[in-house]
Amino acid sequence: MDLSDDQIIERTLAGETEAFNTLVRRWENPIYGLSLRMLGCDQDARDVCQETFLAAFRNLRKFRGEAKFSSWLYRIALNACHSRLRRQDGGAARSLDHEDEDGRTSDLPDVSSEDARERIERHQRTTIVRRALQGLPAEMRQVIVMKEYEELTFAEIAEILQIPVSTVKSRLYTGLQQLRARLEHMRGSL
Amino acid sequence: MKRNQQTPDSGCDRQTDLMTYLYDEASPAERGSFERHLDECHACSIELKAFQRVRQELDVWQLGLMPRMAIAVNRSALDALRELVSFLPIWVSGTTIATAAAALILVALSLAGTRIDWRQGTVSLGTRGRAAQSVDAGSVQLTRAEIETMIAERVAASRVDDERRQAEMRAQISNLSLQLATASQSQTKLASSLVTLRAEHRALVAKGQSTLGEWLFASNGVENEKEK
Repeated sequence: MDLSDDQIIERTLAGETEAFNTLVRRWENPIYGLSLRMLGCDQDARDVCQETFLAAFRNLRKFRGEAKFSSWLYRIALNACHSRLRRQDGGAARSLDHEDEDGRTSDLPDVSSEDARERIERHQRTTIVRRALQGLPAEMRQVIVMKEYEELTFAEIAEILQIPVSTVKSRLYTGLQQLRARLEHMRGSL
Repeated sequence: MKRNQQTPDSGCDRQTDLMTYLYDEASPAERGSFERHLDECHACSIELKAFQRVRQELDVWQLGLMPRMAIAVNRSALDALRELVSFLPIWVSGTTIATAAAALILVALSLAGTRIDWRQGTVSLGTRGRAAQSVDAGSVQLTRAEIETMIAERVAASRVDDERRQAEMRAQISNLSLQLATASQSQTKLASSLVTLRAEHRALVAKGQSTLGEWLFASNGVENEKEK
């Protein structure tokens, strides 16, 4: 039977530090996904992911269990993402061209396969989405990423960002409107 | 659902209700209410379809699993001890706590002037200036019995030594007594000899004096005759 996050935390705090790796394995992909979609760079996302889990481990005694562990973890990751974005160019994600050079080759199409055309089209659509998302202000981007890709509820996002649920919905609405406009513009310019 | 402020973009004030409906978080009652609104509100109906298309487009960006990450945590000695105690049964934990208490006693001894040396799993104890005795740190509980045995052995060995020394001393005293008795006998003999010698000396002196007197008397008589 899988232990709950809180049970694993109890074991870790009791001195069974290896138990923390169970939490890492459980949450590394969601945290990595959030970081990559926020920052647009694979290496930065990996760095943030590692920083997040190390910070969580070091501050585990400060986690009081009032919120869910995952919410606490997402908050740490988002803070790390925002710190990096501030160090870059005032909140915009890193250039996608740079990401394509250093990033995940699994996203690139395999032109030798039979459905190469379909894959190339998919890659182009992905690139448009990534560019459109990364052109949004970080405040709106994070809400869209958490709702669309992390599939968190409005209440969970509100808990992570420590803002009212109505504010989450408003930011999402405005973010989707801006994203829709960007996508239409980018499709038109192709 | 709450009424929302009207926005110039949608022309309707139910934008947060639109989000709740779009992401399927509305209760059945809220859902029914908003669907009735959609029948009447052309702006919300158009915006809902547009957002649904945006969501479909967003869905294209999917990630594979990231390479597994491992957090290497350097455990402190205290963490290792905590982990050990957490795994052990209560009675063993008690023993471990007793061991920790023994360690505290060792620290107290060191402060009181007892030298403590840690090297290669052994603890060496000894007062400053004296040679240290080694105790295996890994078997502190066993050494208690061993120490008692060692003390008993030392006490027994000490008793044997004492008895042997006492016997040796008794033999020496007896020998000295014998020598003293012999010396006393010699002294008595010497004293007796001295008395005899003194008597002989007196006798000789008396005899010499008598002979000298006679010679002097005789000499005086010859001189008197000559004077005559």
